[in-house]
Amino acid sequence: MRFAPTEDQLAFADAIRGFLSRACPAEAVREAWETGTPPAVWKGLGELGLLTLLAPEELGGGGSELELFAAFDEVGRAAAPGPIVETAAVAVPLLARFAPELLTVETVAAGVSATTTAVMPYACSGAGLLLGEELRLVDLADVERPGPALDDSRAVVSLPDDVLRGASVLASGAEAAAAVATARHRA
Amino acid sequence: MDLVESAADHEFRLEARDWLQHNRPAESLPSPDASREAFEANRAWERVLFEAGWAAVSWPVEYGGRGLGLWEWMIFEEEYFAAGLGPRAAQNGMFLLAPSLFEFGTEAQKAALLPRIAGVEDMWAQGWSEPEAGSDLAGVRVNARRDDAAGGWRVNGQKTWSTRAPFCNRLFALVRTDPESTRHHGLSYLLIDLEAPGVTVRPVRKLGDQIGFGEIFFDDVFVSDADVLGEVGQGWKVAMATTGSERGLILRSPGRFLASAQRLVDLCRKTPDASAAQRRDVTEAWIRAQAYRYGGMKTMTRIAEGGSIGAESSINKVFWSEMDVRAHEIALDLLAERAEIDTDWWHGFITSMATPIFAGTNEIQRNIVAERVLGMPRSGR
Repeated sequence: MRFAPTEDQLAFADAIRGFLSRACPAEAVREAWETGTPPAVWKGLGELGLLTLLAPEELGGGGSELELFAAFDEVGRAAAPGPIVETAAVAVPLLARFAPELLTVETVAAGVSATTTAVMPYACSGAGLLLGEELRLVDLADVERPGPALDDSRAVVSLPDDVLRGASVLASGAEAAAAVATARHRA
Repeated sequence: MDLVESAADHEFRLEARDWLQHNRPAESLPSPDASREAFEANRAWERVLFEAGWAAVSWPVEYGGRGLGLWEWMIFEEEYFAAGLGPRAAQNGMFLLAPSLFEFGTEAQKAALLPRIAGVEDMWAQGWSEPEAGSDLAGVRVNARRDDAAGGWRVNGQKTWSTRAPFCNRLFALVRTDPESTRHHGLSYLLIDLEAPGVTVRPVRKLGDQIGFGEIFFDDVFVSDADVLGEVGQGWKVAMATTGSERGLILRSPGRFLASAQRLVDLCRKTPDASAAQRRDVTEAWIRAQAYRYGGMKTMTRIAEGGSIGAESSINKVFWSEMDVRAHEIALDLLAERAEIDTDWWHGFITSMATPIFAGTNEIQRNIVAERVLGMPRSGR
């Protein structure tokens, strides 16, 4: 047993840290209160491979949760705005397993948020996962811009009933419930 | 002891309730600290209040009041907050400056200033804190130099953390008039015109985006002898009358917390899945607000019988500020994931977080309680 990050995991976290210290200083976080996730931060994290770390190898994945968690330390340190945890730790592995046809470069580029209730953070993402007994997907493209929130960079919105009703079921049953539970714990 | 409202008091309560019901603004008002527009909207409403004789229930009629007592004031405040109305744009002048004016003002000062406070013609900000002095007011450095030829003082230095200063036209401030003095000696209480030459007010944006907060710079600002409240060098004593009111009852009337506790109860009723522990928290918050009300009644009885608020006001300050924070924590807990987007409650929460700090930090208040109420040895400073 070795309960410590490997050299590679540390190097990955260092790369994330270096990138965020340049691309996501305090001013960028403040700007995100007005304008949402900074595109340069989202794009850069994508290029570094953070968002798709848990995807299949052909999509740039093949990493493990250990790299992911070391990198999340750095995301938290920079207070980087965006559905980073939602996309990388929740949506990507769930889509890879239950709806691989939806897991495309475009989907990840638009961001995928997730919630366990009807209150969705990062409503400016392309889509959002509803993590209940079933795994469901909502299209966030037509959801109205959120009103003020405690942290405006999180773009939190209470999803209207018609949007919730229009959600498509990606997976249900015991296997889905277990995978959702794992994703919830991971997030 | 008699805790039952007299028939006359009850009649007054119903009169106030009825008037507020028929005259309150149709739309609920924004916080007067939010923006210039919000401030002016509150001021316009407070003018309506004044013209109907409700602005200052406990002040003599000649100063713009209703000529009634503190009991009626407390009843009016309960009805005011229960009607969904919030803290007033004019509260610093009404509740912080006026008590010192009544106690230390000359007849001329009282006649000139009090009706303008009640009538929201003058809007007052408080000039206590400085970059190097806050809860410990004895550290004040803003200085006033004697100008005998002009018959007054020349003020230089900086005040800070002044609520609504960017929207106000006047400032009551504690400044050092004796350059040789230290601590709380040699201070004077000045009434400064914020539109005078040499005054610069810079807004400071608060967490929650309100801009009714600011820092004030004085560059040789002239203040005439007529605008010194109390005697020169006695500013500490004069300020203590204000501070007693601020920390004590007047700034935080029980009505405010009763209304807030009621909103919490309403929220809990609308939260069907509230746990037993959450319902217990709400009940305790409601009981605390009732206890604060009875504590207030005790204080007012003492004042009515010729006593004063004194150092016990520090107990009050610690109590109401902790009560305010706790009530908001309970509300956010009930709201769960909706807490982030319920503007009223989260905004109230971040505002409440400042209450253990402002009006003298709770650490300073606890020192005062230890030394002056409990008679414990002085702390090392």
